[in-house]
Amino acid sequence: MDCKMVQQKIYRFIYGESDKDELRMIKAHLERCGACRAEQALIADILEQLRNGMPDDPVPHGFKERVLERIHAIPEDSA
Amino acid sequence: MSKTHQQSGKAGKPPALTDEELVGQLAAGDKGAFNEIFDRYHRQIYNFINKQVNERESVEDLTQEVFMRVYKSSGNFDVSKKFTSWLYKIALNEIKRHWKRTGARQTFSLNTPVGRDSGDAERGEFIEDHRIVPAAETESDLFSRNLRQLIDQLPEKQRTVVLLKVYQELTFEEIAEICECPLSTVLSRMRYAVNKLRRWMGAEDGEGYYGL
Repeated sequence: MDCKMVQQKIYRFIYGESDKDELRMIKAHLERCGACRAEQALIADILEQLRNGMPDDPVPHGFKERVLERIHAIPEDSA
Repeated sequence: MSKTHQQSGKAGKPPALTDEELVGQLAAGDKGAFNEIFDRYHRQIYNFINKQVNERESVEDLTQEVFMRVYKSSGNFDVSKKFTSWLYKIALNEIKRHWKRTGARQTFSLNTPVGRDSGDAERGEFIEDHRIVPAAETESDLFSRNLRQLIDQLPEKQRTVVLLKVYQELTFEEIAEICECPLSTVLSRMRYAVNKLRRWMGAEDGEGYYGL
C-alpha cells in the first residue's frame, strides 16, 4: 500500500473501521513511513479538537413532556 | 464505534428490543414503543439539529417535528433497513425544509465542487448567526462559536458527513446509507472537509486560526 492509498483510507483507520487486511497493510505502511505517521497523528488531533470544540448541549427541560403531549393529541387512527 | 443503540441483555432481563422491532411495535399502535425510541434518540437528534440551526426555539421545534414524523410514518418504515438511517434522513429533511422556509441559511450549491481549489472562496461567505452571544463569553465558548462558523462554511454535503461522523459518531457505512451514496464518496467528503478545516484552522503553518 502506498502513501496515496493510505491517505484515502486513513479515516477508517483512525475510527477503527478498517477491515482486517486493510488494517494490517496500513499498520505496516505507517511503521516504515514517517510522513504518513505524522499525517495520521495530525488528522487524529484535528478530529479530537473538532469533537471537543463543540460539546453537546443538554436538551431543554420538559422537552419530552411537550413532545408526548403532541403525540397524545394525535387521533388514534392517524398514527 | 457507533453511538447508535446497541441491543443489550443483562442477566435476568430480557434483551432490549432492537430499534427496528420497536418501530414495528409502534406501527402496530404501541405508543410505549414510541417512548422508548424517543428516549434512545432524542438527545442525539436534538444536538444534530442544534449544530446546524442557530435559533434554540427552532431546534426544539425541528426535533419535535422529527419525532412526530417517526410517530406518524412508522407504518412506512422498511424493516429491512436500519432505523437510525431512516431517522437521520428525516432529520436532514426537516433541517432542509427549515432553511428553505426561513431563508436563514444560504447554503452552498449541492453542485459545489469538492476539490481542493474550491475551499477558500467559501471561507469569506459567512453565514448570518442569529444566536445571542453571552456577555461574558469564555475562551471555550469563543472556541466553540468560531469552530461552528468554520463548519458552517463547509459545503452542505461535506458538513453533513463531518457532523454525522465527528459528533454523532456514526460509522462511515451508516453515513453512506443516510446520504445514499457510496462509501468512497463519504470518505472523500470527509477528507476534503477536514483538509479545509485544517487549512482554515491554520494547523498546517502553525498559526492557529481563531486561536485553534
